[in-house]
Amino acid sequence: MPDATEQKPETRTADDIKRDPRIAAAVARVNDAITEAKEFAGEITLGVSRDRIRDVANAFKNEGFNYLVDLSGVDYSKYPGWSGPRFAVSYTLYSFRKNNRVRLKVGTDDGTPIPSVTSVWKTANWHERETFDMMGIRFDGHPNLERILMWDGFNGHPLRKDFPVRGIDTGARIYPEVFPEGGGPKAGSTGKDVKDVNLYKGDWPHYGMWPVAEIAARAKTGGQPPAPELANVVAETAKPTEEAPWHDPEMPMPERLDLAKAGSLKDKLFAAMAQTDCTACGWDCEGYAAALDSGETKDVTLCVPGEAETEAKLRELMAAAGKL
Amino acid sequence: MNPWMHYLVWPLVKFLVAFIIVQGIVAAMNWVERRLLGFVQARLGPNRVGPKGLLQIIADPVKFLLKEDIVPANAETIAYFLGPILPLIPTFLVYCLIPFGPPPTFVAARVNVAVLLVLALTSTGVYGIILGGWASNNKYSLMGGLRSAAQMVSYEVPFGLSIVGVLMLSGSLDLVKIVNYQADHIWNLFPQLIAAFIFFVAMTAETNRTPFDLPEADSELVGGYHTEYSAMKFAFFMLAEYSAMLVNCCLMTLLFLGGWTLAIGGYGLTTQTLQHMGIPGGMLGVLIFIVKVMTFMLVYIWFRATFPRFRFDQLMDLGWKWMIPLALANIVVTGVVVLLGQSLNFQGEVVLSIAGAAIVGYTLYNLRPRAKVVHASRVSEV
Amino acid sequence: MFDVHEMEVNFGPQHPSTHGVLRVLLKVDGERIIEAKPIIGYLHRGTEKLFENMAYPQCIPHTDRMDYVAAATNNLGFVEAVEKLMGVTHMIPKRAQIMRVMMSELQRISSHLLWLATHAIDIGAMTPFFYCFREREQVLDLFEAYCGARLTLNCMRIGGMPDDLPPRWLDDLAAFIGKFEAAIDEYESLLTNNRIWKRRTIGVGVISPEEAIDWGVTGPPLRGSGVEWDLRRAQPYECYPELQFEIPVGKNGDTYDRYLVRMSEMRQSRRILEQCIPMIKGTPAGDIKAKISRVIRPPEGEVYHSIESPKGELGYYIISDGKSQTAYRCRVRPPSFVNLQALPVMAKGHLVSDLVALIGTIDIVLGEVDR
Repeated sequence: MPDATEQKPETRTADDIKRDPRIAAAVARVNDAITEAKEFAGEITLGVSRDRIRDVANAFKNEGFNYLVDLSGVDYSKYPGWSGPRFAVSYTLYSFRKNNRVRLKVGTDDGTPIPSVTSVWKTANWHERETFDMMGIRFDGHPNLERILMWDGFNGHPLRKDFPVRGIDTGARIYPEVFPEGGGPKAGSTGKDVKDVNLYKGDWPHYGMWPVAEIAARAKTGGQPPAPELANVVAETAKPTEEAPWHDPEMPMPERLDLAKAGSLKDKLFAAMAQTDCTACGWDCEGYAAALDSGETKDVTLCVPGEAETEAKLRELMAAAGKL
Repeated sequence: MNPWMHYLVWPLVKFLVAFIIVQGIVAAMNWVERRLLGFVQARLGPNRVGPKGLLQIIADPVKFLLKEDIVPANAETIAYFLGPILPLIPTFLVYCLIPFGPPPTFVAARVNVAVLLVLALTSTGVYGIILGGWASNNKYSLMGGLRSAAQMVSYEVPFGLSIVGVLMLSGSLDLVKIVNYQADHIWNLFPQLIAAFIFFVAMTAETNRTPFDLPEADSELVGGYHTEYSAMKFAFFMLAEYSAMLVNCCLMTLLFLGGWTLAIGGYGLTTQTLQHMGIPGGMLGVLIFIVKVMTFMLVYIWFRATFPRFRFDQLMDLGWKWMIPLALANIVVTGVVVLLGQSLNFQGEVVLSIAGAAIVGYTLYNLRPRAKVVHASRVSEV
Repeated sequence: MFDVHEMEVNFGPQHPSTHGVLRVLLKVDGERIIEAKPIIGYLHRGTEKLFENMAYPQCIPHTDRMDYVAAATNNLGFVEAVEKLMGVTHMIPKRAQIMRVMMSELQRISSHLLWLATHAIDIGAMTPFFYCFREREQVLDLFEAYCGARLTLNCMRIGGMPDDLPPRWLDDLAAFIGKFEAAIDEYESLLTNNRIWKRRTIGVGVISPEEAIDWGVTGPPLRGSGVEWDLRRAQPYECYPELQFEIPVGKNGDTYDRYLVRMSEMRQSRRILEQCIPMIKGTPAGDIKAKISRVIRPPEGEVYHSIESPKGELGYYIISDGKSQTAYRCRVRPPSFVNLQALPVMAKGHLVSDLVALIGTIDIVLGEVDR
């Protein structure tokens, strides 16, 4: 790819970075707790062992990094070629004296708590709550570790990579015609002890997806007319089953290609798309496939959500058809 | 004359005429206020209904009548209904006592303790607000009601005390006699300047107007005591507020600005002169009276456009630590001067007026325009 | 003998002075606040999740929706973070840099005007509201003339600006800043020396510089406490090093000082804009986009980049896995979220009326708090 940015080779070794005058004094105090040191775009990232994070935080604070800029979690479970622990928490620190930032990073597994740094910086309080809420990372010694953006009793942690982008069914009473039993947080259910928020008792993996198919089925058999906004859902759900069974973004690509095996080149190209109809390429998925097929465009790099996988497949299919 | 006619029918007729006119003014005030605020605030105000938006005066009541009347499920029903009505009754009754023009034609009931009666009646208006605030079963309303109660209680004292000086000078509780006294000597505004100031501030506080609008403080208590009121009940609260404003402005005019007369030292349009001119003279008196009253109503609106709101503790501070001592001092000074004037044979009013003028001059000197803008205290240069 | 009852009051989420859907759970003794607990999340839209599923250019409109009264600075923070990630920061043409500064300073003015309007009306002064909106309208007109939008501008692109300035835009801008100084004087004549305004704000919500830093408070609240720190000066971006401006700083850290700081900041923004006009006239027209790849695929790495938004330090922390056109993780460090955290500290022991002033003085936008 003609990327404008060639990554420059690392010029400094980890030890060199640790000796950087901006952080050397602090690192010297807790050198044994620093597991790695990296540099990118002029920013220093230090890996810190989990149990020692509070000591390291104190050391950096005493060396002038008295402002915790940001604290955020990262879920590495879908990071290409990742072998470390699933989660990481990044602490961005700032020193007013040196006018410099440094980032500390702590890795952790699902369920293993990280020592809280609220005793070091008060501002860590809400940041840690948010990280817990969004990622499910627990913090030991946090005075009040409860959800902050989602409500108490919400099922799941939205920023985890396995949480579906389209959201989950929380049981909220969105389509009363279809789900007369309704749902949503009930009176008294917004306290700590909430068990009835997620009313749907289905067995969707992890969290529960939108029961699109069930909405459609119920609307058909229930004899009640679906709500106007539901009609779209039904129409959308019905479409892949008839003409394009592969038009389902949750389906892995080999399966999609398998379904389109017997079809025309356009169908195969269509099946190679990401199926999100995101229109980043300028068409919907079917339209882009048709455009490639008809020769309207020869650019196979346009599918954004499909990323490299789609691009490679499209290139392969187009080359096989002799259209490139 | 038939005593029935004299004591019942005529007063009733007069009251009704006054009532209708006053209510018309109250409704019109709403339009005037909105247009004037619009003028101050670089916008238009109501201008869609009728010429210059004048029909808004009718459109608003019609809307209030037609809106759904919501009663909160957990409200104390009886108290909730009484809330808007209680403040309305005393303010209406007060109109019987207020002379709108030269007596006897333009006063429904001339009472020789009118000042006391008026004070007693107006101060009962707060019960409706407390009751309404409590009965709504809403914490904001309750806080509004409590604020109103505390405010009324603390400002009733300087309100009453500030009048004492006027009573000492004129030697009567009869509003007509007070007005006649002013026409024969000088408007009480001048010898009783501090009292007039206290009276005006206290009456602004009594009617819950900016900067003392804490009981309704829309940005803090959402709407205060009338949060839960809608439709006609809300309109009643509003009617009561504007009626009380009008009553207070009438009192201000009668006590400090010479009521319907336009005279000094007995020269000019005194009550006698107006009475000699018959009905046209009476009408002229009423006109003078209304002009004076409306001036104060406009000052109310001007206040609303200008001032931020006081905080509750600051309001109490102002009432108890400044207004009451000032009012008491005013009583003492006035008493001494009047007594000395009687024994040493000089005009006490003149001395007090000169003192008042000195105070005004000093205040204006203090309020002179200064270097205009204060920047943040420390500023770092590039 | 006397039973003390604390009353719990729900201040919000539907309350006229919570500037959106903030809910503060108050424990009050009479009107005195014993404890204030902000409860947020009513406007959570999962922006960070969306960022992970969209190509970088697609994210820019979503940044508009966070601090929706200061969309340009949100755009700026995001595009600069991506540029830093790609290592193309130095390639941005001069004209684009000046345009970005102009947009973000105009945005600072409009955000501060909205703040002043609502802050004043919360404290009961009704008239400044309309005066501020009169000027804010002119700023929005300028935005509309540039990009067609008034609120959610989407006015920056990775590598530059979407379009050159329309003809006569600079004249309109000059006309606006010519009048603006007098307008600020007008607001100040209504409030700055007003005794009631001073009594309502002086000594209310004092926060010491040490405490402010400990709570991570940034922007005007931090400067109001006397810490002279502004990212435009501390870690300059775009063409700020070439511009002359002052950093107004308060002394006491109370609401009044924060008010003065913001008023002075508007004057400084005006000053910056004044300098920008001759600067941009010296750059070639149309040179607004760096020559970078149309497909944004940054190398593997992570950056944190922050700018001085009207509310404080607005940071973007982006992790790229080097293989896709979407961010692997994009964390937003919202100034309102962090500043709001200091509300209980400021509010303790004050009255309910002061809470309204405090929410105003922190200058939160719930879209940014909840993202």
